[in-house]
Amino acid sequence: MSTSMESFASVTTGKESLAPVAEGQVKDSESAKGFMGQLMNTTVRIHISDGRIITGQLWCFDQLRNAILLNCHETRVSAGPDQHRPLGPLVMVPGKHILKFEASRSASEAAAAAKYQEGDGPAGE
Amino acid sequence: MGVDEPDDEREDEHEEAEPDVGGDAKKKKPRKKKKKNKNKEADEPFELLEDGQPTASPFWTPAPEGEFGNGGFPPQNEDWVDVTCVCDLAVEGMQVGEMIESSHFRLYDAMSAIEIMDPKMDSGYNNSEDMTLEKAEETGIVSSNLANEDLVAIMDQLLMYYLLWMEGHTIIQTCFCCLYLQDPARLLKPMPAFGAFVDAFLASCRRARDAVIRAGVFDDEDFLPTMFGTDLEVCVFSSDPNEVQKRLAAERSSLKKTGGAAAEAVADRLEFMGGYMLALVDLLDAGPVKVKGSDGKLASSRPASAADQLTNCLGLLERMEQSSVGSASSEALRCFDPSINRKLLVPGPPRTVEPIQDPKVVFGMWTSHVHELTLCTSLHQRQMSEMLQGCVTFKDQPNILPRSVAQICVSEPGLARRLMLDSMEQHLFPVEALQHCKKIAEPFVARCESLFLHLLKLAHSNNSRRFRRLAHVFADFNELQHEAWQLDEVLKTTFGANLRHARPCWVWIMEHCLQSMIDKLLLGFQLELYDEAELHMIYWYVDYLHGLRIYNLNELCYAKEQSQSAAGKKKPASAQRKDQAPGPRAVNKPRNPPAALLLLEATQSAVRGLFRLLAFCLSQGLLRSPPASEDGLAQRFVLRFRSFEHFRLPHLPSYQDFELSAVTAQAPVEGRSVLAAAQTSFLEAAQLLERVGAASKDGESRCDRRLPDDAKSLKKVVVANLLVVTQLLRSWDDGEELRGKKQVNVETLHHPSLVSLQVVPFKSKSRE
Repeated sequence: MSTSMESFASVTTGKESLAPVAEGQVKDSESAKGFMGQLMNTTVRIHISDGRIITGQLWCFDQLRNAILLNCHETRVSAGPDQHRPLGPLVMVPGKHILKFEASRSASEAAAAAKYQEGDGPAGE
Repeated sequence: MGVDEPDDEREDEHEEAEPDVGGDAKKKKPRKKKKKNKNKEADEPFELLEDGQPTASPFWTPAPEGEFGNGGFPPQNEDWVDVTCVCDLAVEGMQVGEMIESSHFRLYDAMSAIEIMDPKMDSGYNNSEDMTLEKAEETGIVSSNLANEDLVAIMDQLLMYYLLWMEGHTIIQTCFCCLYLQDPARLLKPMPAFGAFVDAFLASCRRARDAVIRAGVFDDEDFLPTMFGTDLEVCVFSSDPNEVQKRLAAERSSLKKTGGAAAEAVADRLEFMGGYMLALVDLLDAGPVKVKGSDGKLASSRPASAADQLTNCLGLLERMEQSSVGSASSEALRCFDPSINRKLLVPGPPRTVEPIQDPKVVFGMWTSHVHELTLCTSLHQRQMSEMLQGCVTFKDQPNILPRSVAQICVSEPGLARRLMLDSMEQHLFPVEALQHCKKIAEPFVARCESLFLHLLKLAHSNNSRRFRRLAHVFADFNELQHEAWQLDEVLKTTFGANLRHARPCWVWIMEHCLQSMIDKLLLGFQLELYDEAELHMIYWYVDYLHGLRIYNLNELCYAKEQSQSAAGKKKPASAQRKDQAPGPRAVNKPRNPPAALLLLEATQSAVRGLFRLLAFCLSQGLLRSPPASEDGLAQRFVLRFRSFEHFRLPHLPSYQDFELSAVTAQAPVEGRSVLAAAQTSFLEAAQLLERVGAASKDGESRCDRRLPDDAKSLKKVVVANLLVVTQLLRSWDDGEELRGKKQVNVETLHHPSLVSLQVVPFKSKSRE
């Protein structure tokens, strides 16, 4: 595992890991890319380095782990109730600040179950 | 540059209805502004799917209605799964620049995305470092006991932020970035002097904001009235101006007993703030107090009281500038922190407001501001023609508060009508006609009042709005022109030989319409709309309009002189028939024209000189205009003067008319003659300006306060351009080649709309 992956993996929120869902489906980079492609237009949640959580519809994801989200909200976790704030229609989250990337269970399961083959991959290839 | 008038003009066609003041206020339904043409790709960030409807699918959830389309975001009870490992795995297999994207993704739209964690774009970045009141109290940034030196610095900073708020910045990034204003009642009660100052400050802010909203002459770029959830109604002790003033007076006495330079400086600021507050109260609060003047007529005492307060404020500003602390106050100014209100701003690029550091600049701006407000206290003494030019001097726009105050003052019921009738009387309209010809005169006056109220409002709008909206008044003027003609016929029948001028109403309407046309054209210079290649065309048209005005005004002044000199003597019938006979005849010129008319003639001569000089420079390649501008002059002619076609002029100038004049002026063999003709025009202007000075001493001209300044700036233009003509004539006579060796810089240096030229050595574009 690379150093960045280690730092990513070190952050947990107690949610179940993907492994049981994607077991047997996400084996390599190609299938991972396909999986990410299937997550497009679904709601994802990104934890960033200053503690905020950015929630929005995934629109684009690139080789530097930058993610572009639509119709985002920002959540601040504090001692009191979580504070939410709309961020606007289009937000780019730089990959270097992403600590954790979460998808909804339903979308993840659907993405894992979706059939895809080489040459018939997700948009962008 | 500037060739987009049709869109600008159409943008504001919808106007909200003007208040019905007894005339036919045209009520238009508001309609959506037309969007300018944009890249089609950028019109909508999301394309609809093939069937025109976004379909629900596991992978595409159409955004429900609500703020940013997110009625229910973020999902509350969603079950989240960590897919970070999958992301990392995907990234390992991606090439540089490779993206995984939605089928609806467009890179063009992605460019407008806000970047999270960018300090300029992400207003939530480092939010934990935002100031809070608790933090400020814990760290001693706000205190319950401030030294007088600190008070001076804080008060000056508040005054500076007030000006920035008036310049169009948000109130939460300016005045309300003061931490003491977050809870003034609690924080300032222990400091009664500061508390009284803040009460006066907030009372002024309330009135200023109400005035700007009430006047309705502001645009987004002028002023932002949004409060962002802050409350201007707060106070420390009282929000009643009289109570506030009493407290300020008490604190000043207390400070005087304390003694010392700092205490005196604080006292000055308390007095200034109180005076400014009371001036706004006098100018803006309802119900003018009527007192009997020396002429026995009831007049409002409030403007006079406001003028006294503002004059006192001007004196205090000088003292305050001398006692300002300046840069030595950085410690005291920690109580100003815009981050305390960051969460109130909408997400997006935060517009940081840079405070003005130099006290000289701040107090200079305040002096200008107070001076402009003082102009508003004497509006009732102005004439209509002066009012239509704007009662305040429009220095350093947006200048929104003086413009708004002026607009509120001129909206006083009955004032516009009174000004109009005074103006008509000056154009020899018999006031008795309102009774004797009531049936036709009264509706005419009522319709004029509606139009002139609109023109007065435009006079207090910013230049851009004024330029756009003036394009739409000429159709109304045209209707009034016809009505005026008919009214004049009735006046002739009713008054016969007692009518001092054959066409008083028509001349009056023509005069104001021509003035509006000229204003519209000349505003283009202040808005920097014109290319150098078309300046001579603009001046050519302005010259024509001036000519029409001068013709009418000469007739008018002649008629006035005749009626004054022949008072009691009846003219022979032949002379009367000659005066009233239709058809072309020689212009009757007054023997002693008023200064305003002489200035107009001087301006026309200068404009004509500029047309000739610019035409010459264009023909010699001395102007650095792109070929496209010169080639497109015919289209520009239509664009610039199209709105005037709605008004019937004696002759509607065409592009062919202009071309004929311009070709003559630009003919190579005529070059020297053209220069000489330009020189003659400028010399004529100079001679007329000499006469303006002498004529200024008569009673009528003394009413026009701007006349001396206008004459001065016109003189500078004439002198500067005469110098250029002399230089070019010398070069021409010496056989010097001008093209490629010399060029001419064109700038509105001395006058807002008349350019001054300057001959400089040629600089090729590659060297620039």
